[in-house]
Amino acid sequence: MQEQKPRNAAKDFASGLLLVALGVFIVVDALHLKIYNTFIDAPGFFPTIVGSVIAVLGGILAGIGFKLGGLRELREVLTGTYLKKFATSESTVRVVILIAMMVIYIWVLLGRMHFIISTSIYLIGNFLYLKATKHWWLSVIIAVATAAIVYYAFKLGFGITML
Amino acid sequence: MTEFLKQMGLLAQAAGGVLQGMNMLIVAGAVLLGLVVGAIPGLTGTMALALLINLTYKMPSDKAVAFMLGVYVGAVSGGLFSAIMLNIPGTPNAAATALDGYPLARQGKGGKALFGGVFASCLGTLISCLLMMIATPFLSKIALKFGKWEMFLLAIFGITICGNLSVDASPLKGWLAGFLGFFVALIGVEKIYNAARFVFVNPLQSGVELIPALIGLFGIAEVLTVLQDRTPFQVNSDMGTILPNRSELKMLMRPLIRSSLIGCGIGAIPGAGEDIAAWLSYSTGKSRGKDRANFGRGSFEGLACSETANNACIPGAMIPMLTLAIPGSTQAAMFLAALNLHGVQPGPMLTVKAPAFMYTVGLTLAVAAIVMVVIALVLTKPMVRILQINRKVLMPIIVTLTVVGAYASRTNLFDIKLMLVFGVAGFILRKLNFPLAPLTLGLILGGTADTNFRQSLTMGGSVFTRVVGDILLIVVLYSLVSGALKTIKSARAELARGKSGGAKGA
Repeated sequence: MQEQKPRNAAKDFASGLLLVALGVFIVVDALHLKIYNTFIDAPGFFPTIVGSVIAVLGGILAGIGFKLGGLRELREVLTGTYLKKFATSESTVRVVILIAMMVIYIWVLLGRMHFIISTSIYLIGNFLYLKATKHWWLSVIIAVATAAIVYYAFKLGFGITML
Repeated sequence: MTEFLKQMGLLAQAAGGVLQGMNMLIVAGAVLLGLVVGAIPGLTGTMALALLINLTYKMPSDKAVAFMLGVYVGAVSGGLFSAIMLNIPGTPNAAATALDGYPLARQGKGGKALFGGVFASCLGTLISCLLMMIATPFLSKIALKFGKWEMFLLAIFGITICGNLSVDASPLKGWLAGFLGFFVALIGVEKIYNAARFVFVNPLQSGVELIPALIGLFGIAEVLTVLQDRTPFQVNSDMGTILPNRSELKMLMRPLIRSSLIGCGIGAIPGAGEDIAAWLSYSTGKSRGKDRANFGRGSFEGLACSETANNACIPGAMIPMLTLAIPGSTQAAMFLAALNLHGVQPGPMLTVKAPAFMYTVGLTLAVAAIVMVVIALVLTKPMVRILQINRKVLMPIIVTLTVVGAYASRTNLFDIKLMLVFGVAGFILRKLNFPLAPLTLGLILGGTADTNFRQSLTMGGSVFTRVVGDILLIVVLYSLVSGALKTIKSARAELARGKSGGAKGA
């Protein structure tokens, strides 16, 4: 329990700072937008307010995180063994690999090859990585069958123009 | 009297459409699909709607509405299966159900708890439907008086109150999530001068599409969350009989009115949602219920408190959505996106353009609730097998379905990429304890807030002399002050905990 609290403080401190940066970026970008008549009906008026609110609230969040020891904990997290532990933990590695497979599926495979082929490759990769089935060939059968069913169900059954 | 007769005429007109054979079949199929998706741990009602919206793209709008509402009702109740049999809430709104449902299952009353939960859900939905159909025409008349200033204030009220009520997060994080949603909604070409804002890549000219964004936030983020966890499931195979006896039925009926009122009321608050309704109803029952001594040990009354309220929330969430286009929950937000897709525009003008639509929604929800009890009566035991489904096989398949869902609305590859970006962002925000409900509301209301705010200010200084606007302004200020106090209180408590932890550590 004691270990959990500082991590939350570090999370709040770091996310608060990032939100301040985002808020400032929004304000700066919004102030560069053209003013047609008056500033209050200009395209940049409301984004300026939204950016300011995000920056202020982000600052408050960072401040609360700081008071709870967020800076100290963040330093420990970034310099100590925690970062190494986090980066090599099973759940982190799994999430990173799953996201990487999604990126490859969506950015590389889809649109470049037929939906059934790209989806089969994605599903086989996932099933094998997650050790979803007892035998590899079962993964292949489920993947290809699923891709074909999804493709034809949506194309023929629901009239959607598929990839 | 004439108004009453007019409303009855609209009700009869709506009933004629809802009770058609094909519509009833669609509702039954949708409820079953919703129950199945909701029953799988990790798949929420919002995700069920996000996934199954695919199936409505080519449907006529009346059939699509029937389908989505059926899924909505089924998915909210489906969560009770894993809550009762596994002690793992299938959906967040079933978390309170597990407190009494799981002990009942361990006593060999799992079957009775499952059917009793569905029965309580049905009654909650029916009572709340009645309340919704009475309240909505009155609120619609008030909504017609709303000007641009009031619409802006409502948008602000939506995200502030939603942030205040977020479970497991401080109002500060809820507000931040809401304003982040506002920012995302501002991306693209704005409506007054057609000026492009924050268009980082060309396809963003038309703005962030709502459906891919919501599918990412609630689909991909949930898949990642579920697959990160490796908890094996152990289903209690001894379910016992399904039908409760007379005394158990009596206990299920006890909190009916109170929990329905709580559910409907919470549902009507923008973004509050089913989980808050279930917890509030459960805690009220725990302090006032006749069987309160057994709450947490396997009380049918406790089970009914949670299940009645979370389903009563559905018609409640429809009230602000239909009258003001402000969804009462994330599921209602998904339903709103589906309505927009089918050309139905909820809001103050809905009662003028499609006056019977509100009754169509109410009656469809009522039919779905009744159908759900019939399905539960027949399929409770086979449904439990769904809990044993291999999630490592299911989740990648769900990713494929989210891809089709994001792509199908505009047949645009960019929307799939957008969905993935929102999915990863949603996953990170969850890990940082930012609630996603205010973000969703911000996404939906950002455009409205922007245009109405600027136009109301341009119109002049008369904004502070409007009674409805003044009342709304007071409500917004109150929600801001109460949220700020809540944030300060939780920060102080955490600081005190940190100091005492430090002292102990020393």
